[in-house]
Amino acid sequence: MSALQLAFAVVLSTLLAGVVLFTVFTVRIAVTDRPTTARGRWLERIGRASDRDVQRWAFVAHRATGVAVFAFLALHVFDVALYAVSPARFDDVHELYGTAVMRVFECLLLFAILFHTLNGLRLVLLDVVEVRLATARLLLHVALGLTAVSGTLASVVILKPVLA
Amino acid sequence: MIEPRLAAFLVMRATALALAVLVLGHFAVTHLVNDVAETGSSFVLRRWSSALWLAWDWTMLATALAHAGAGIWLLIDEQAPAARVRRLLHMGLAATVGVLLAVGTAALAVAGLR
Repeated sequence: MSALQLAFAVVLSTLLAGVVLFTVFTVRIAVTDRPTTARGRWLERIGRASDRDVQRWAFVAHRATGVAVFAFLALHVFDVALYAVSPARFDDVHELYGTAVMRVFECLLLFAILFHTLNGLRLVLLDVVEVRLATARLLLHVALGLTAVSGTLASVVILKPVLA
Repeated sequence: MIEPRLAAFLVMRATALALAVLVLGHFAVTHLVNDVAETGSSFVLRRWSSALWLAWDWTMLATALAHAGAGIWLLIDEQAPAARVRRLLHMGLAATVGVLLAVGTAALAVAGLR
């Protein structure tokens, strides 16, 4: 492994750890700030999603995936910018993108992007059109379903070269 | 003057539709249409010899940074515990977004003019 590849791996791992920490932080705030739920340890409250809370979980997931995609973007700008410095150095780091581990990461990234995009389009729609809570929830389920189906199909394509 | 929180929401909404097309299109081209292992420097050379792709990539970069910048600005505004911490984080965010825009723009300019 070259020094540049090592740097890429270290930064990516650090960003991933940061994203996990942020997600826990946001989930905790969402759970402990919830006035409708009985007191208890925050982990015990997670399963008790009421009607209103479904939208709240969508909000938390939207934030977490947004931060995750931005974290990757911050790294990606630099690894692509390497091309302007030297195409050979760019290729050195880019080789990592084809490895099995990175392909799994790319699938996870895609799921995050898909959810954030589809739920985001739902939020834009809700801003423009006045709909009932049940409709908003239905749209959320549509967004989740489309994320799962298209994400899984694309993951098969992404992982195929290393599944032989 | 528009209230800053409303401005941030407007920026996010205004960039959302464009990003849906630009980012999903980008991902599809680099991971589905082409295998990611084939998107090395020769792929970038081909892609960035077209003004259209240079424009796509710069627009995607600027739009994504505006969207993320507005989103994280709101996030800090809501979740930072104290006014001082909030100011520091907001300044850090502005610096980060500025550096990313500068690095990305410089890379596209250098590679595009090469």
